[in-house]
Amino acid sequence: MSALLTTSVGSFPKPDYLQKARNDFYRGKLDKGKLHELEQQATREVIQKQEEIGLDILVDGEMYRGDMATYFAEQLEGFKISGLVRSYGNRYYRKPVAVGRIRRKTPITVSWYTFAQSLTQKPIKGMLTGPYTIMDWSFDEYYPSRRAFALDLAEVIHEEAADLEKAGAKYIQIDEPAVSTRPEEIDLAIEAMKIVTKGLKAKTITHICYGDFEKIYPQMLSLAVDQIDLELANRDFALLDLFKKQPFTKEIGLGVLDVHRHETDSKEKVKKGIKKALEIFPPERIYVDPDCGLKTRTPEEAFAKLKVMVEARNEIRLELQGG
Amino acid sequence: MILTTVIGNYPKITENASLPSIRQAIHQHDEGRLIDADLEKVFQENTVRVIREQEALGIDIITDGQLLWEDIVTPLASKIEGFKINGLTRFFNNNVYYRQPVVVGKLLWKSPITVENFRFAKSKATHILKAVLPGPFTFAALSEDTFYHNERTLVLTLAEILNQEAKALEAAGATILQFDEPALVFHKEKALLAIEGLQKAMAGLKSKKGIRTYFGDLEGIFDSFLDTDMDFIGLDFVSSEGNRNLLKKKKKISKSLGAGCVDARNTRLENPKILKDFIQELVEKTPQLYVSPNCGLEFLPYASIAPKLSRLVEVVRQCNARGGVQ
Ligand SMILES: [Zn+2]
Repeated sequence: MSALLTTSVGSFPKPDYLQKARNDFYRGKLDKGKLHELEQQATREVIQKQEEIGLDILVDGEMYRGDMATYFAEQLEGFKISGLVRSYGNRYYRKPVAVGRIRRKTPITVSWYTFAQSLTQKPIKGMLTGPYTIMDWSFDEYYPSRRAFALDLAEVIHEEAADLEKAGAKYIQIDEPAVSTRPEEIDLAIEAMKIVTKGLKAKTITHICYGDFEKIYPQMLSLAVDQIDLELANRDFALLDLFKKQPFTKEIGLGVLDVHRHETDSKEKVKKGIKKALEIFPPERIYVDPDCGLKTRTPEEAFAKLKVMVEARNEIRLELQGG
Repeated sequence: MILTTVIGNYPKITENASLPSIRQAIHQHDEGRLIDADLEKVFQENTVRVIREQEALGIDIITDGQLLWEDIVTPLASKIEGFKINGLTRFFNNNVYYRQPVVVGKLLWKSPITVENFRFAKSKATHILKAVLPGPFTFAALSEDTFYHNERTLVLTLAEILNQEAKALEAAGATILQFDEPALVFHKEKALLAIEGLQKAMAGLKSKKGIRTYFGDLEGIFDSFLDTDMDFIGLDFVSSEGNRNLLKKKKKISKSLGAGCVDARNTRLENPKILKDFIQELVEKTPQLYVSPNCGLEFLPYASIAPKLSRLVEVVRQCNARGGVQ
């Protein structure tokens, strides 16, 4: 039955040994080859874990990525990486800085996609960061306008998406978390996404989170993707009421796990969310997943949450079949 | 004479090892390897560094860099009775997060919160040190209210509290009091409520007092601020076109103007000619012009601070030299 398929937003928590290896690598105490081995080991483990839990569409877990914008920038021509800036509390990160025309030298994520797909029969989803978000989260010392910057990035992300498709990806997700924070620029995000997904046959998805959806709805339905993935659990599924008033014309990625809480979400709450969505969407247009990436949780917390999610989905499927 | 200033915060770390780093000190303190007094010492040493740096770069009116401030509200909210501090949420339209204060009971200011640090910084400063607080409207906008269930009540209650804090800062020697109101640019429809709150927060202050707004503009609501008791109004001329448009239509304004002309959210260095032309356009319109970055400096990596502030100071000096003594 291909209704209510389960998946995840992309990132998984890195195991302690990998976290330590990454720190050692940045301090020059570990070579790249050894780090790569450990990244592969962690990827194998996270694929196996997703199969055990029973997810339908898997991800590679992003064991080899740090920040979701900086990771791409590090491998693109035209970017350098900034000094440390604070993101919150005592957490710092490095931002991309555009210093020249942005170009892609070689595929960025394709070899990881291929590696992950070789480990499982289930489909692996290709995971990219969208041009609008990379632009918004970067410094820019080169482009004459935010638009020019975003549109060049769109070409680059399109090339990457096309290569993922060539390598076999049936699902490609292009995350645009920044889209909801500047409603006045939604048209630019839409223009850029059109370039990214142009001519793709794979199912395309975008994930948007933590912002003012009311201000970009229904315009966000013009994003050129098949599915929009949203965080709903952390607002107690209130957004669905908005979609009752104004029809949601795409498939929905239904965030049912609050990833900002340590506690495992209750099965009842997850079921309630899925049922509420079923009042609006036919089951084959609903994809069930967590609100956002799971990288800020511990591995134990993340897997426990996903397990509840799959159980809740299974029970609802039975109910739907009149069982 | 045009004066230079900054908005408030300053990068907390330098990436060179000349002084113990605040980042490492907090980390060690969290792990129980550094006692409170030693953490405090690291903050103080770095506060002195930040003061010296601003002075050496030629900033006329400086701040303590707000090194103890995780964000614009937490340091106050964590010391005001009735707040609890909740999880992370996005800080306006930046890829930066803050911990959201939640109003869970009657809010009560017990004793001065920022004064001790202000006094320390002032004892080290040779330039004018201004005191910076969140404005009551922004404080309320960044909080979640589960107690008053009434925005106006919350804004006015916070205004009362900020007024007590401001008076305590004044008693400690503050001569300029700045209230930051970035939330205004996203909620122009609530300008009158914000002004009501600000009037209350500024009541009885003898210092120069005013607001800084950033991340957007006051187009459409600017005139309402001209009829208030505040001495200066600060505008962000980088984030959007609105403030440029509104100033173009004015020959003269009655209040001092804070002009955020250098982009503190991008590392690109300003073109000196364009900057100079713009400042010269503004200087005719106000009795006193303060030129600054458009918002706090913490969005920038440390290495960008000196080039950005030097550019600002150099251009203002040229404008002052050309204008003669005003
Ligand atoms: Zn997200």
